[in-house]
Amino acid sequence: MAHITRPLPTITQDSQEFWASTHDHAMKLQRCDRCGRFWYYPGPVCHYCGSTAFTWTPVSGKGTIYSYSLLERARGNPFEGDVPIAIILVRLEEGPVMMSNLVDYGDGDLAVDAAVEVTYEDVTDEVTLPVFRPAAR
Amino acid sequence: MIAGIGESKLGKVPEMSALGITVDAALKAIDDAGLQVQDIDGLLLHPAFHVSPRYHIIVAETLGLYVKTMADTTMMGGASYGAALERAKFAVESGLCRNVLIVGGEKLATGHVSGSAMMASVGAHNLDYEYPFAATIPAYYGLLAQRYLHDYGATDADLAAVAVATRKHAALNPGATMRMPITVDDVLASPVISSPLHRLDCSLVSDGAAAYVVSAQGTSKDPRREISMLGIGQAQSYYHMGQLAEGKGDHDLVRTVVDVAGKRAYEQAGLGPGDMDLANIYDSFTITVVVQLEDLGFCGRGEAGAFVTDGNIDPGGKLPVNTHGGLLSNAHPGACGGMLGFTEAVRQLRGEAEGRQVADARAAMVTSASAVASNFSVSILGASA
Ligand SMILES: [Zn+2]
Repeated sequence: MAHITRPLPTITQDSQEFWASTHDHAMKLQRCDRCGRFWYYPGPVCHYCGSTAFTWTPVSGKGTIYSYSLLERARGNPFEGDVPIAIILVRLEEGPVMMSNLVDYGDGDLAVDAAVEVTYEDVTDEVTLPVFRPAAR
Repeated sequence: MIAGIGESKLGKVPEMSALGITVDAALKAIDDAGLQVQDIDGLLLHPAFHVSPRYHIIVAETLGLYVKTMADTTMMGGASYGAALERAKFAVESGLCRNVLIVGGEKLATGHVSGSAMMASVGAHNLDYEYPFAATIPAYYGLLAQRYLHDYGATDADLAAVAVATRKHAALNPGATMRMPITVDDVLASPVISSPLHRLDCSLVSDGAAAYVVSAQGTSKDPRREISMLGIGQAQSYYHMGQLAEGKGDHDLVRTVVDVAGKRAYEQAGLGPGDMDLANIYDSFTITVVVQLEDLGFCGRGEAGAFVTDGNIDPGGKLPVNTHGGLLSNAHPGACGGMLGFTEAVRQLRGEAEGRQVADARAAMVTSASAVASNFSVSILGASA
């Protein structure tokens, strides 16, 4: 995988469980105890029904590409020298849509509705980002 | 009503500071309204990339406006100056203020902010869950554009047609930065910034400032030059692209909430899309225009490419769009770039647009947008009776 100089997220009380799960290479999202829906990004309240009762729950890491853009020029950004970078919106099986990157892909893989699965990029000792690769066929 | 407008020099202005061009535009607008600086008792601006959270007070101090009954900021990126217009309208109608100055100026081309400006723009989005994946502003709009192409079977040539039409307008504006005619092939041959968007699908990076003065109807020295605010609406959805894409009800990434802002504006004005003599539609990218043309009812879903290719938004077309050349070809000095759509609409409705005058222009729409087509302002302006 080509190296990408990544801006780092700030880990807060709302997101420490999420980043701990990606650090363990086993992504969890919050699932609402009242309406049962998963939400993303991490936050203190159910995005759909307002409940503050939730359970950090493992997700499958499987999804499909909702949209994509191949970044080829990024002047002034820390990852300027790391293009092209495939930026994707992934609709997870569990419902939420995440922004991420497609990695280790070939011709035809960067496409709307293409099946993808999560993999992990350990960026620093604290931060591991969930990225995606084409799903095993 | 809008009593006066002003613009600084646009494009590259290395000889003046950001504050300098801002004050220049303000003084021109005040003069155009037939007022003195001391007649201004309200001030609204978007502080954009300025470090001080009190930049509006700094501008007021510089102008010598000691007492104001309203001085505040609007923090809606590109949509700020449409939103500010609505607040100024409320202020003069309620008696809170007599004359409100709305002003903005940025130096994106020759200022000190080019690197940090981009960071600050990104900061309008999600630094924790998007920026680590190398999302830039063009990438966000690339995601929107790619999904649009997928949903409607459109092509990047449909997007490019907007840049081509906009350049035709710019060619008629002696002050526009980019005036050489271009073709769809030129757009598609320009380097990809973030697919499917090419360089010529993206707006310029400019210096510039603009201002307008809002006063109560019938109070200016020349009522024939007063421009009515017939209808104004705002609508905001989400910044986070994933949540925006999940959507709600009739809205998602491609079907934006600008229809909500548009409906308010149309209803207040008692007018519809077919009544607009021109529309200055915020064109941060070609795709930004495409989705707004559809969501505001100028054409059907998925039909914007054909609508544009058929010449409808050209000079002399059914709905001339961005008669000054827009952010794509005239100038794009950051968040205040959208103000140039307003100043141009005012010139058109006054009949002062010279070589690019739309014949008998009575009603003009002006939109502004920010944060990846999630944050919209729609205004319908009218010529004096
Ligand atoms: Zn819930």
